[in-house]
Amino acid sequence: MAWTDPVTWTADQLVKAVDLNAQIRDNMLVLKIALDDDGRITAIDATRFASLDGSNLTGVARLGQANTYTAKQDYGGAGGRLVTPVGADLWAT
Amino acid sequence: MVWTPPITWVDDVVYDEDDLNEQLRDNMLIIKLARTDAGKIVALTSAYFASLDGSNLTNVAKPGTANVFTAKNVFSGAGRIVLPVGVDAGLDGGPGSRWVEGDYLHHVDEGGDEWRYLGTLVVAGSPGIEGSYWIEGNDEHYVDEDGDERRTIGTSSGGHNDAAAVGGSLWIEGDYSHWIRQSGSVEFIGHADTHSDSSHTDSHSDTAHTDTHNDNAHNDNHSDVAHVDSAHNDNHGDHTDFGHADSHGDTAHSDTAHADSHNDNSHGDSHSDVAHVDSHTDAGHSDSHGDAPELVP
Repeated sequence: MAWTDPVTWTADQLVKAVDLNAQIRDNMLVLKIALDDDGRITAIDATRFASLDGSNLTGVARLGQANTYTAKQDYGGAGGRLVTPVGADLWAT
Repeated sequence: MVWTPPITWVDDVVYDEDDLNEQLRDNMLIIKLARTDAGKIVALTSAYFASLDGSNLTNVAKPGTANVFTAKNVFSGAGRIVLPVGVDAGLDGGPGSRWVEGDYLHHVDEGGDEWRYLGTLVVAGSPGIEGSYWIEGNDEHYVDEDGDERRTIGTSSGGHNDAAAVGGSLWIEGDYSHWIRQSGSVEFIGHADTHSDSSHTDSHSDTAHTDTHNDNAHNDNHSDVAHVDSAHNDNHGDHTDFGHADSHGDTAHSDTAHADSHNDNSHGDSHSDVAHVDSHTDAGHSDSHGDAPELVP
């Protein structure tokens, strides 16, 4: 099953079953892949997203270079950094 | 409105309006649900996503076990921080950057200069991951490049005391590392407390002395004065009751003069204490502890 670019229907065209299957059935199935039956995207995973790269997201913590957030926050490795606040009395309250 | 799996269309079948409404209208509406009229996904909300779990995303920060991202990033509890490890591993991070290099904890100060602290060894061969970094008690702790746990101490002198300050808060102020102690409230400053006990030399020199005494030679002389017993003559006259003549003559005698003379030999008791110099010198020592950061050229 693959996506078929929608055709441009013409007047007096005899629409055959094969046309409808390609244009409607198969294309709908492709469009439905990422959705559950109520129309919502099922999950943010590799089955539904061709890329899971979140680097364009805003309002989330994004990694600088090679920082790795694991069970132990790891700023090591190539390019990992921990840069603490700089200035007077920058404690959390 | 629910999704109906698309049918397989066949030739020579007359599809009525129910078929078309179900297969085209309703299914298209389902497919359209999460999209705007321009075809874009409407929003990252539960209205359009059955699950908002982002754990499969890449290139975003995902909290590890128990790490909490709040308004102030909190890594307490089971949270952990592992600093970069290696030569100049964080130097390019600029002011505020920290890393572990060899035995030292390095940072870049507010003005961009690199400093390092040599922490006091706490546990050799710590099981901690090299670069692990945390606040314990009043001190900064870290695991050095060799896997040894070390700590650097600070001073609360000159620091603020704020009841609301959160333990573990960490920042660079001026040249030095600042933090809030584990129990909170009190600011500690990784200080420039370098003290070197001046080397001192305990030196005393006993003045050399020479004990010398010389017994003066003395001469005990005594001379017995010679004496002379004067000769004496006992004379008597016989009386003449009877004619006889007793005559005797006492022999004169002379005491021989004698001279008792002795001479004490002069003697020279002489002893000379050997002059000696008691001199001891405590080796100069410098008590220098490395609380102080060093400016790394």
